[in-house]
Amino acid sequence: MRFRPFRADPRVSPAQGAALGYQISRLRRYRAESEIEAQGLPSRGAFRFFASPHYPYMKSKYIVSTTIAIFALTSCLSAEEVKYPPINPALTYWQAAALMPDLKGEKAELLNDAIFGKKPLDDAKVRELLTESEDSLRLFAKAAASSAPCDWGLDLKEGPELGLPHISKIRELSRLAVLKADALFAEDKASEGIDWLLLTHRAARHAGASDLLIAVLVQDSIEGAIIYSAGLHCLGWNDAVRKMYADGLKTLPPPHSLGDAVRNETIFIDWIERLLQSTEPDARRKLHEMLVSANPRGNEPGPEREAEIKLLEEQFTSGNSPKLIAELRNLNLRTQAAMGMPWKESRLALEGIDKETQEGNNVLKMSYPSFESVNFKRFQIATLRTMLDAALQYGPKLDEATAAGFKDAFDGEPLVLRKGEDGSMTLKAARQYWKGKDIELKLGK
Amino acid sequence: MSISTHNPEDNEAAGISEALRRDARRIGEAPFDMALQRETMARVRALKDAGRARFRFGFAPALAAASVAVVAAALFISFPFKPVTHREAALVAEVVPLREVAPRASVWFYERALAEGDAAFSAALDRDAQTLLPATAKLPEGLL
Repeated sequence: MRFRPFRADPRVSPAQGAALGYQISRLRRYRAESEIEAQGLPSRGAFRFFASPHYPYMKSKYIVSTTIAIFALTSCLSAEEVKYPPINPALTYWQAAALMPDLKGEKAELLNDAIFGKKPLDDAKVRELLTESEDSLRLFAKAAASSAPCDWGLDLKEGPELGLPHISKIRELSRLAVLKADALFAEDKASEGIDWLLLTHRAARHAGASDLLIAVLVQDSIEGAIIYSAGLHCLGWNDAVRKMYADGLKTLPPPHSLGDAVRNETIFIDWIERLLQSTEPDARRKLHEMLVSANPRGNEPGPEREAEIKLLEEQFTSGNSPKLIAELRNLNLRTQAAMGMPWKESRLALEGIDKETQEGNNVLKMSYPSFESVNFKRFQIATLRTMLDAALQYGPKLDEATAAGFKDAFDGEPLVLRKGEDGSMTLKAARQYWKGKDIELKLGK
Repeated sequence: MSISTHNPEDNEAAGISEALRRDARRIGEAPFDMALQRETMARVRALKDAGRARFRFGFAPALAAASVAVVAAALFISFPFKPVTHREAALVAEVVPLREVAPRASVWFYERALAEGDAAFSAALDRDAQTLLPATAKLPEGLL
């Protein structure tokens, strides 16, 4: 065995041994090739290797040494992971949530003000809150940094009854983490603050890990809060810090998309179908009650609620049910397609679907939500990401001309920059695309 | 007395064998030829080496295939597959345990809040963040 001398030597690691073995096999190959040249055979190209009388011998040695090298390197690299395997971050987030301080009343207000930059913060109170949250944030950072896939253990077959208690908790933890970053920026510890922002970006994407509509919306709302916070501080960062953040963003796992989330909304339809097929006597009644509760009028007991339930009972006859389920599935497929379209087309398509649903029967009206606002959010967060990109590229040097080089995600219109008298700047989408809502990012305090 | 067998071809082969031996006895043994000996041994070695080469040549693809299979199996086992989404399982009709209408912090509950607007959705999340898994009360002074 050629590798024995290296293996036996305790100073040589398996990876080094394999690498040396590989080098030796290459040397042997070149020696064989030089012999071929001496015999006057073609000296270049693949023929030189395959024409070698040593070819079969070299080939097998080459394969063996390469295989050993792969295994040795893999085992060396993963040795640490085998001993301490990365932990499912969802479990660590729950531990962080359990150690989170009681965030009611004044503290909740403080956190809200910090996230939305409503008013100047009381440094002493922020410091106190962060001190109380130290253990929780340490676990949050550990969870966010984990390389293991995030599995919240959600049983999707529960359909709309599926509990998402982690969603509000990870949103709250993320807000604390953004507050921590804000405090570090205030202490001129920009690179540490950036680390916390990047960890929070990762946590946001963990929040969306189930690809459910609600989870992905929370992912985007957390990322929106991070971008707003970064915007407030980014004019004070030097080029290296801005580049560090921009480079860090590129290493993040891709965000979960609202388009994929719409595909997962079929768990709702699957659930309705199962209840309709159920032999449990109360199943249908429960289904009707739940659907009726979607309507604000259906929340309170009374004649209106009973009338709605009766109407559903009439529509959900055994003969009609398969047709209704097929209609719901068809609507979902069309919504999925619309959520993959550019802004104008998707808006038109979703408006059409919404109109059709509202004009349809009660079952469709009650069970199929409108996706127009969700679609708007899809383009809104994409535009905010572009704005952050512009701010990180140019920082305080950003002007109207450079801002116009960046386009919004809606119609691809150039971004507009407004300069404030206090030295701050605001990046804006050229126009309001939906229901008079502005899309803007304030840069600087 | 000759031994008779059931197969007449065996008797014929025995006759040929005997005739060959007779012919061999008639031929005188030639003197030892060193050159012939070397040439013969060289040919035997060449045949042996050719056999080895053939064996190596056949062994290589098998080894390659086995290596690829082992690497693929190792990658397959260690690949961090996304956890099963249960979507297929969801299609299996079964009796669903029923709970109260719009269970707390459920998909249904949040989607209803979302349908009422962003503010309602945000308020629902805020409320749940404060009320689910409430923080433990502070430890009494001097306990630790």
